[in-house]
Amino acid sequence: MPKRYSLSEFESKRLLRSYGIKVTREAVIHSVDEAIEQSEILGYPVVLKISSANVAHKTELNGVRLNLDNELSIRNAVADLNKSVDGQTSLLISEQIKSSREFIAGVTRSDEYGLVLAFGVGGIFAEIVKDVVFRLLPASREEIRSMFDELLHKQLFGEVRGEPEINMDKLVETLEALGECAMDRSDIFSIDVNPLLIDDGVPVAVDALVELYES
Amino acid sequence: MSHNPNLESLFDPKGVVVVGASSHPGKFGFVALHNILDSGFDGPVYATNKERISLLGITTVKELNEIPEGIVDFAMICVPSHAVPETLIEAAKIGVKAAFIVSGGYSEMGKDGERAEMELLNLSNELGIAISGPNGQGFVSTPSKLCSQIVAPFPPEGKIAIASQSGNLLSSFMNLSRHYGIGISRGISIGNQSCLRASDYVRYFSEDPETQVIVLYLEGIPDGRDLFQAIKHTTKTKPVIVIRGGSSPEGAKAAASHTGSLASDYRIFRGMLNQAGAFLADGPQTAYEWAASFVSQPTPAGENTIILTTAGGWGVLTADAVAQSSLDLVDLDKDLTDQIDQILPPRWSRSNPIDIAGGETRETIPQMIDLILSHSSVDALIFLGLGIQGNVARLYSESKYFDSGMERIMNFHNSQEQRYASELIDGSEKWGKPVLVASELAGSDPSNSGIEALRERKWLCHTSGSRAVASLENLCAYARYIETG
Repeated sequence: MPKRYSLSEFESKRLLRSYGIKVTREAVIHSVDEAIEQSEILGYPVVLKISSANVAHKTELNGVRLNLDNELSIRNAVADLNKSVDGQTSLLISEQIKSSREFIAGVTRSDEYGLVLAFGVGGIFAEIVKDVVFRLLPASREEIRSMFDELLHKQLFGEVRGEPEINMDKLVETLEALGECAMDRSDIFSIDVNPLLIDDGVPVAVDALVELYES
Repeated sequence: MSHNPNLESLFDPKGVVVVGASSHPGKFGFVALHNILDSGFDGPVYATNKERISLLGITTVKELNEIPEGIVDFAMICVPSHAVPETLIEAAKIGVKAAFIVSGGYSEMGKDGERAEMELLNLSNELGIAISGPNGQGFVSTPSKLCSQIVAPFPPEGKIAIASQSGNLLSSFMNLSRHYGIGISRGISIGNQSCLRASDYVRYFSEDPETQVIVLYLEGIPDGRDLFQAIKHTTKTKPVIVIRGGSSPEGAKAAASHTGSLASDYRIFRGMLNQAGAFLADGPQTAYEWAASFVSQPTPAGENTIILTTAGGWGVLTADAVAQSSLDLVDLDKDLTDQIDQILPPRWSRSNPIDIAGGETRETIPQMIDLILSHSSVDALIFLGLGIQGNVARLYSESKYFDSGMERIMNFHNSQEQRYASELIDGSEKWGKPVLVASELAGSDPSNSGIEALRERKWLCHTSGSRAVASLENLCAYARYIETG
């Protein structure tokens, strides 16, 4: 089995964006000044995260700061996160998507079936709720669409808490693009998009992790 | 996607040889030969034995080369595993194209066994013999009246094919077939799958004119991708129902990604089956009911379902099951309600489920069945209450007060049950709409006159309303799947 390594969140999302997947607008920052400068470009509130290939599950390490809506809160958050990573790891600042629904989308290689596509209920409870459906790749648009019906929590696709219903065509396109990316690149072992949030009906990859085989 | 042509020699051989026949009725080599001869296979049957003996009316041969070439194309192999390679080589010389290896002592026994299976695979390729098993209980093929198995029973003829990774699960299925009367075309215990795998049988059944629906029992999946492709290809023309045992709910423990840790064998398998258009059943009873419904029921035009019941509780529970399903409990049209008013006394439920509330005369139920099925708003009927009169008939027949008056009523009840059964089946055929029947008597008292009448016509009686709902749901889902391509 070849060894594997991960791309950083920033690199992972850049790869996904090149396949047409909508990702959060963001920038890697190296100083407080840069963070403030970027926040003004992105628009408040923003999110600050540890951006490292080695830190896969950021929330579990408390490596994410949400709702930063002024200079002071950014200053504090940068200092805080830099302390927890000893200043060794770069930080990522990104727009904050307001979405009460969190999904997970991904691709992985199974020994028995090869490349498989996953979609389901995401967020920090993804592995507790375990409401995730799989398809073998390649999968047609109809086969991808049929995944939604299999979820236990399919009510989440409609209007929820004042947020509009999900644009299902866009969701299918996102999953299709994810599959395409994995099929194009034989060096990809897995792609994890969690959470995939819904911004005005449109899915946006808010965190992503791409695992590659070492060549 | 075509099947291995040698499988035709397995399921419909010209002639058969049992290698390692025994005179001891407790041994596989006896049971296999007995079952083949007793089931009425009408081609030549040979058997080998170290001694030349007379066995079940035939004289055994010592060596395969005593059989003239070209007469036998299938070998049922019951010799110990170490003697199998030599047997296959000799069998190939007389024209054997397919073999079933009953013998154990292969991969289930560890490393040496795994090597022996590799050797089987090589021999299969070199000799051009399709090899089933090893370590399997055999198979049945009713179109050829061939019962080539070391277990019982031999099922009635029918259109359901099953390939099972467990011999006992195959037996369960055949027991169900005998019980309910809806028969089997081919049934095979696929053993260790060292050469022919589940997907090979699926491809064969897919093109088999004797088979209309396919059932699989699977544990380990040697090549999931290949199985997916075989099933997906097949579901375009025939429904596939799968029972899965021993599948892990756990994903990769050390996975870096959430997706990886959620990618359990069970979840991927379930997704794969849905993608391939197959149905996942929880056990042999369910799989049998679904398969039996597929082979006997017409294709539904839609989900609009009416429940007709002779008593309240069954209807209520079945309506609850419909509400949880993808079926629609259709509202009664005004003209249908008006027509029912002409047949039933006013206390009937006036809604769906149609509860006739004990208001029946001699003609009521047959009239109601025909009326409901004839109505354009109805796609399918679930009928509850078969066997009630048969129960009374039984009570009288066993009564210590039994007399000619009771006998007359007993006969009336029994003939009414037969009429209901006929009306249900004829109505389904006449109007081209599914009619599903449910009563616990199907399991608890199959000798009830209503249940028996249905069975004689090879029509399934489900053991509960909710199980009938599940079968109907699948009929509808498959119809939609075929429509949408």
